[in-house]
Amino acid sequence: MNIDQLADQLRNSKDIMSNITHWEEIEPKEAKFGPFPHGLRPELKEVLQKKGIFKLYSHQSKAIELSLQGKNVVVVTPTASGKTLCYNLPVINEIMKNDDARALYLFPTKALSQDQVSELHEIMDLLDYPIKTYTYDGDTPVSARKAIRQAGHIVVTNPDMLHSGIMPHHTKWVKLFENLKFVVIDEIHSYRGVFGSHMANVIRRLHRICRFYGSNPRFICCSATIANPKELAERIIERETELVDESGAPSGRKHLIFYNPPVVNRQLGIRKSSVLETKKLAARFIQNGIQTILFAKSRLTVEVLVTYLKQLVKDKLGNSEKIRGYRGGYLPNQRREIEKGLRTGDILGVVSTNALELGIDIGSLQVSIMCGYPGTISSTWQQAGRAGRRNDTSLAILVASSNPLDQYIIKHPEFFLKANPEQGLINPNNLLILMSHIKCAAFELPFEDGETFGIDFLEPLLAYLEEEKVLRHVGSRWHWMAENFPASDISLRTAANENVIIIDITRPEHKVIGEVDRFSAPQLVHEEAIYIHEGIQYQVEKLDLEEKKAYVRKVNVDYYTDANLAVTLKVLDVFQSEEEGAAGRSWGDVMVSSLVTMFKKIKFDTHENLGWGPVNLPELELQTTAYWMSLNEIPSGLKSQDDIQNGLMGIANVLGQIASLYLMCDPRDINVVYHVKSPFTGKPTIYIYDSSPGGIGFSQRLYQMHTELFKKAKDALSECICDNGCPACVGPAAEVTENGKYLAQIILGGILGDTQSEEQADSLGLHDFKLPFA
Amino acid sequence: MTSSSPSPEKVLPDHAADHKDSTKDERTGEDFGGRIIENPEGSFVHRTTVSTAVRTDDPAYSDYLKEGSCWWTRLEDGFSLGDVVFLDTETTGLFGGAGSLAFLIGIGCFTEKGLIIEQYLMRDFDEEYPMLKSLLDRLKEFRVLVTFNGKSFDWPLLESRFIFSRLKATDWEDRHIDLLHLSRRLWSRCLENCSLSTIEKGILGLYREDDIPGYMIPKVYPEYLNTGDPAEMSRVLKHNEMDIAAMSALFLHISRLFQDPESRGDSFELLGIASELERNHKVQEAAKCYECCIRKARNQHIKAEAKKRYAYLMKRHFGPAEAMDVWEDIAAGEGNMFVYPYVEMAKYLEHSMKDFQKALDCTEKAIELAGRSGRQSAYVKKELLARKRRLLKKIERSRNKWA
Repeated sequence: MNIDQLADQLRNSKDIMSNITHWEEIEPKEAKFGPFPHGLRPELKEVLQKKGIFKLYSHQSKAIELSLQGKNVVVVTPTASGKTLCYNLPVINEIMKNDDARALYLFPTKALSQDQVSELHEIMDLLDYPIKTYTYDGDTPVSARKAIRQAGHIVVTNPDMLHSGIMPHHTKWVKLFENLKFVVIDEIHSYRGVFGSHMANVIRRLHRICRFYGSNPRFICCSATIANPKELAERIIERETELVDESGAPSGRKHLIFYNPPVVNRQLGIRKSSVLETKKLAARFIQNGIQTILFAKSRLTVEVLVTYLKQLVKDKLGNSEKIRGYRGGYLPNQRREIEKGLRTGDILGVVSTNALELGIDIGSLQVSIMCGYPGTISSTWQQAGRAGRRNDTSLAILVASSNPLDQYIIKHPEFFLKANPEQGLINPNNLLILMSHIKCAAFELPFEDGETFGIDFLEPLLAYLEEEKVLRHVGSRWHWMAENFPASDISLRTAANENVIIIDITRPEHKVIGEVDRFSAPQLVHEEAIYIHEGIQYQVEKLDLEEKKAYVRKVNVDYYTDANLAVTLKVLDVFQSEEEGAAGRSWGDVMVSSLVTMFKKIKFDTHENLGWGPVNLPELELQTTAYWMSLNEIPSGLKSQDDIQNGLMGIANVLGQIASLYLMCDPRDINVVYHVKSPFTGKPTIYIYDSSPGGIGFSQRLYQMHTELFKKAKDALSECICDNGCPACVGPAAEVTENGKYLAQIILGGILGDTQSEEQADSLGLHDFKLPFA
Repeated sequence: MTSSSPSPEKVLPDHAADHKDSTKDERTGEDFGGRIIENPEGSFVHRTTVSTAVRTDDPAYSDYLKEGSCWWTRLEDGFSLGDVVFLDTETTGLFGGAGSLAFLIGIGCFTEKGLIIEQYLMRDFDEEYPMLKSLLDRLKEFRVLVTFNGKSFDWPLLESRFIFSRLKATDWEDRHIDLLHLSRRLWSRCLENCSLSTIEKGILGLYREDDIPGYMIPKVYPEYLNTGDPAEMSRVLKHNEMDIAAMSALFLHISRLFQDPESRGDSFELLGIASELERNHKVQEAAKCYECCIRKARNQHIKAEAKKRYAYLMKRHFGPAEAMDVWEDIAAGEGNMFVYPYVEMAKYLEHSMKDFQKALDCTEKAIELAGRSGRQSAYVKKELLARKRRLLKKIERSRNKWA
């Protein structure tokens, strides 16, 4: 069956349609073209024709025109709309005009830079003009580096390399910086949160170096759909930019399907596992030979799905290479091989984390299935966009998990379809991040009195560094005087350089099979954990955190493991506080310590709990900012400490999800904890803290939002189908006890000063529920 | 090992601070036994020492100052010892990068009075520009730069600093001799390493007393800036002075070796000298050194290496016929395991002499040897077999022709 027939089959199946909450059909779109900009050389037109491109799409034409006028541009268009031409054409045009001209391309990952270089080479070959393009990253051989520094017209790299390998040695790159005409930042939407805040500072440093060498490059930025591309680009490059966001590229018919696994136990609000439903749906397509990509939110789910699907395609020889996993822990050459397999069609199904969300060229897939809401609207569009890059019909299916955010989205598809996508939020002035880059910048070039570095409080920071004997103020300059090399101590991606390597010791010759970041290690590779890699199970025998190594051995068991995380929070400083009303609000600095205490063994397929084991690993500490709400009055409906405990637990569960939705951030960027009697406030308190060290500004926003947040949480509870609480709202009734949902609603009512909470409880069908203390 | 003569110039009182940041008045005119130079760009310390570490009282010394005395280098323009400037820097970081700078730069030169060492020291960051500017003016007076590991460390670092100061660095082009590279050619076969201190002890017989270890130096400068205490800085100046003296002594030592390698050099040095001369296109002299090395060497590896290089030199510069004797000599050597002399003989016999039968004999001998030592690459074996096939064909053809 082909894709259209399969879509019809889905539509005609009553079983399936009963689980589909919404079926959005997006009409195909005709291409819109624009004129070939006058400033471009005719040779380039010929090259495009040789490539089979006879007209430019309207967005390409407009972006190129603006760039030729000397403007900074940010282009926002969907996957596969020919964004790369928007920057390659002006850049090549400039180099052909002036052979000294240089351009710097920045991609968030190495894989993307490699892709880009091969595409550029293709154009160069057709053009027959010697434009030298090189990737410069950690993998570039030392022998080639000198030539690249001297002669590379286009240097393709990533922000990390620019930060630690290029800018600290700028005097070796005189040719590049003196003649830098263009800076291209692709996938600019990926520079959000901590990474984005670092990126903005990296660009501040780039501006300083360019100014020193007398150059003033134009920026061309490209982004996937986000709510504020222009704002984000302007915050990162700190220059005025022109926005091009109307895509002229054609698109094929697209079906966007919202699938909610059926309820198996209404009282407990339990639905069928989203993983198993995803497997079932994927099987339909894969068995019909349709290339399908599956997105899962965790590495674990990726591996579980790979295991299931491999079973499905196994041939008589046990060969199941048509299904592959793809995620962060895989080694680079393994990834390249998978990317190639996808392009050639040797691989039929791939299960990925969001690693394949970005523009890595894997050719055109027909179906994309998301196991769980990816967490943000823009990621969802990116992942859905992985199917149907050509002009044919494609299918994207969102399978909801039981967590509150997924359930909210699946029940409010209109929210998803109408709402703006997330904003790219960054805070370049996060003190920790800013200070790191001020050090790097001072190492690169002494600060002059009166310099700003994008902030109006630079001088006190420099004075602080002088006290610390890192800088020295002489004459009108601040000179670096420490012995070390600051960029090497600073990673742009939190803890990215702190990976734990996973070593397979099944055979006498040990083999590295993957890696996990330092912070996930206690949860994923604690001793006795089952680590699944490429569908093969390994048991962790030893985790050596000091050496950053985990030793694993192949096993064959019918369960996987899931570790519990215990978190404690301590308030260090209060920045703003308001105690009046039913609920007080504050925000400030906190110290969060997290400890993995135990793990559960969970059986495959049935997902039943087979037992548990202890984990003995040291605590991890995080200093960050938090927002917290404390109850000034205990609502009369709460009779005991246990009631408060269960009510708060329920609220915490729903709040984390709702907050991320309205903050428009990834749910992993924030965390919620609650104290029945907080050691700090002395009252029942709920804290929401930033996951990144130092915080990137969410706490302040939550402080401003305050009651609005609780109103939304209350709405979410009222709309939930369950009786007494389910994983989709306050959590399973078994955890929060049978009246957890009711208690949560009472507390929320109290916070909102809402007297109608009892009535609402009635309208929700809670009237026939006997409260134990009523 | 050195004694610095007191500077004859009058020490100027320090007025530099008057037009500078008033909080940074710790540089209370400390001159480190040198002289505070003041010019419109600012101030810095300049210290001149006549070194006694290098003996310049032998009668041959004045010959080295004559034009062309450095004939043995690859530089063709007939320069003498007097045209050379030795340079060594002390820096704030050993890892490089734009934030490392040279706070002390020592240069040395040979004059009729002996070895003169000049040191340029910045007492604070704002003295870098006047110091570098003055240094550049001085460097212009020399034709050749000599350093120890300066090609990868000292000079690139200074170039980087010149860029910061927007000064145009001296372009030495190829007139920069790195003694580290030269030393490796001469002594890597007999010294455990070729660091300057190892060479000082092992080759020059010099010993330092109370020398500050190199890794400590980057810490001394910030400490001096913070405290203004000159004691440790004086040790750094001494260290730098000794480095320049050792480099100069080393260059003089090497010059002497090159003037008369046959009587001064041992077989290790002769091999190094010969290969250096060959690199520098001094073919006749190189050939003589190889011959001398072959005569003198007791170490069989050195002897074999010298023969091989000698043969290739003969072949390259005087034609394959001239090398035949040496190939034969090597091949006939007791227990010879080398394949290459047979290959070379086979080439000559096949292409020049057209003696295919003898060429075939050599090739077969080579194949046999290559088979015996498992180390020979498959590529070599394949090549040899191809040569054999070709020779057999040629023999066949010539037989038919005469038949």
